[in-house]
Amino acid sequence: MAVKRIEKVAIANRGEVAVRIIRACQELGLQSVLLHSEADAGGLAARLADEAFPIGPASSAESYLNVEANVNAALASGADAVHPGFGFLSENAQFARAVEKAGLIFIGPTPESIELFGDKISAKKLVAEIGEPLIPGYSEEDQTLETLLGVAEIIGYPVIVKATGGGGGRGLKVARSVPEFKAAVPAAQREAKAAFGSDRIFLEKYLQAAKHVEMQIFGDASGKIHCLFERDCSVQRRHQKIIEESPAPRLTTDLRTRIAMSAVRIAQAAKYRGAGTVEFLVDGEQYYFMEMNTRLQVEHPVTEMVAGVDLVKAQITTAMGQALTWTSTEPRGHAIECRLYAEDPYQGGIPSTGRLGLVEFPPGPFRRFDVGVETGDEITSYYDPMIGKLIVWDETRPRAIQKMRKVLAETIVFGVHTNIPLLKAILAHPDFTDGRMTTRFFEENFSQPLPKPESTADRQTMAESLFRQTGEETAETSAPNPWFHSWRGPR
Amino acid sequence: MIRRLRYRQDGQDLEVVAQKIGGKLWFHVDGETHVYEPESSSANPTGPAGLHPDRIEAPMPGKIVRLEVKVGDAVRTGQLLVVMEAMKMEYSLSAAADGTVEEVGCSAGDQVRLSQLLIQLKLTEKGHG
Repeated sequence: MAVKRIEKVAIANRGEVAVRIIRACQELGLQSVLLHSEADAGGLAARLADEAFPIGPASSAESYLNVEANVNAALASGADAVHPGFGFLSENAQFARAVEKAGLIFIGPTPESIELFGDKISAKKLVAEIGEPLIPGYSEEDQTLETLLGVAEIIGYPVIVKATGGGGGRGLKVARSVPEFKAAVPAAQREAKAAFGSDRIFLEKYLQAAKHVEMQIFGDASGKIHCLFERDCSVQRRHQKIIEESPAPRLTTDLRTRIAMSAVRIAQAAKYRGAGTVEFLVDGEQYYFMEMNTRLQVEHPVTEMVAGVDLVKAQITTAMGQALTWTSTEPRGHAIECRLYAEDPYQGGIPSTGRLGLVEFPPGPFRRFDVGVETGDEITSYYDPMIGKLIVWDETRPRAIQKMRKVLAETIVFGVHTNIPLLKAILAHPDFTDGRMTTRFFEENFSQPLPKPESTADRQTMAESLFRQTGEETAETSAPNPWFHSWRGPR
Repeated sequence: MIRRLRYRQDGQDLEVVAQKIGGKLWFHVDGETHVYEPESSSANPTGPAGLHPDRIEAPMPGKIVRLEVKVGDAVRTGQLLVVMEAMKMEYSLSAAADGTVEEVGCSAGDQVRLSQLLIQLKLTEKGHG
């Protein structure tokens, strides 16, 4: 691959991943341009980037998913490369092509790779051809309910109903019976149509007690495929990951090696370039290919912590045509990530929107906070309600869990509710601490809203007293009170 | 205004961080965040879902994708009533009790507010024996 010059990177994304990419650019001495919607004009990413270009209204369909607006803004900004982040246009081959056609460098895989793995059918065909394991399923063109019902009977319930173009849990339903299946098919088709423009779906056997284990691979500019070990992302709610870690608990060295080799062979067969993730379901000693994501992953920080690499910088230098010099052969220590969502855990995780009051994360060794908002920013209903990600590293898994508990206890977010109580409850669950959790862990243990803890009399008194003494906007007045005295922390 | 205080309780000093936002007090103490609102200003008269199974309200702001029932329909516990979409996900709202649809407060395609009435049911009286 020829050496290419990159001096200015346009970021076609928002929130914490935009901030992550901007920081990587700054450290590499590159200029960064944020391509943003109207709703994100004053956001943290826009404040941090060297330049910010508007691409359309708040609605994602008209801004972050608009190929033309993003390419035009990237060109207008004078950028020579585009980083798509994750979500939005990151796995859109048409976008990658449009970027390249405009004479810009797409920081990611080739449009052909995105197409190959973006279509679950062609992805599975490739995997089957090279003899890697697949879950029984159906992906033929005949999409009549009658045919689908027949196939579901053969596969055996429960059956997954999934949008062909889908990823990250969108348009994905699990049907456990014929009536559920009859309800799931039109719903999945509708979501698929709305999200991807095609209502084609596929069916798959639902494994009841499997772990979600994914391999981080990276094809460098010399054509070499690196494997940066696995992540366990079994803690999922409605197929959206909540907690991820590396390495995977209870995975034997032998099985890890076999899965890693499968992942590398799949990437090699596609002559894959850049960061990618091969997702597997692991059921006992069996493992099955699920899908390959042709992008940076939300949970990439846990891999960075245990492998000692910077995946975003590697993406950029790979786009410049530089080979990687990574040498790590086994994961070091243990890293865990918790996704911090603005939602009410006492009402089943209903998104909680509004302006953020104080937002504060407790600093300390091997703690990392990938966040896209600050005090005063707003969580809107236009986008994913993720505030950010809390990542910790420690020598062992139990230590990493201890550290994460401390971080969760000391993290402060005012103004919107967060899932911190839920994250704490998960980290304290014996199935999690033993590393036995499967993809059904959340559904089996946390499908009901958390019970709201009763307020104690002491805390009620404290709250009433604080309420009376605290003004909304006025400057702090020193209130002589026997219960309180002002105290200023180190920050 | 953000206040950082030390609070003495049972001879122990607890660090408290507090901020009042929109008439509610947010405070963090002993590893937990709480929200306090004086009783009189409580803004949620209907309470959480489940307390009023006859009122199906929007659990979040979003869009109505599909209505499964019309006025006069008899519904059974667990029956799908409304499908709504918010934050890129579809949510299904089902009946928490048997009854008859008395009122429909939305139509497919509508943008609805948090707590907006979607379906009013007349619950079936439970007989004994």
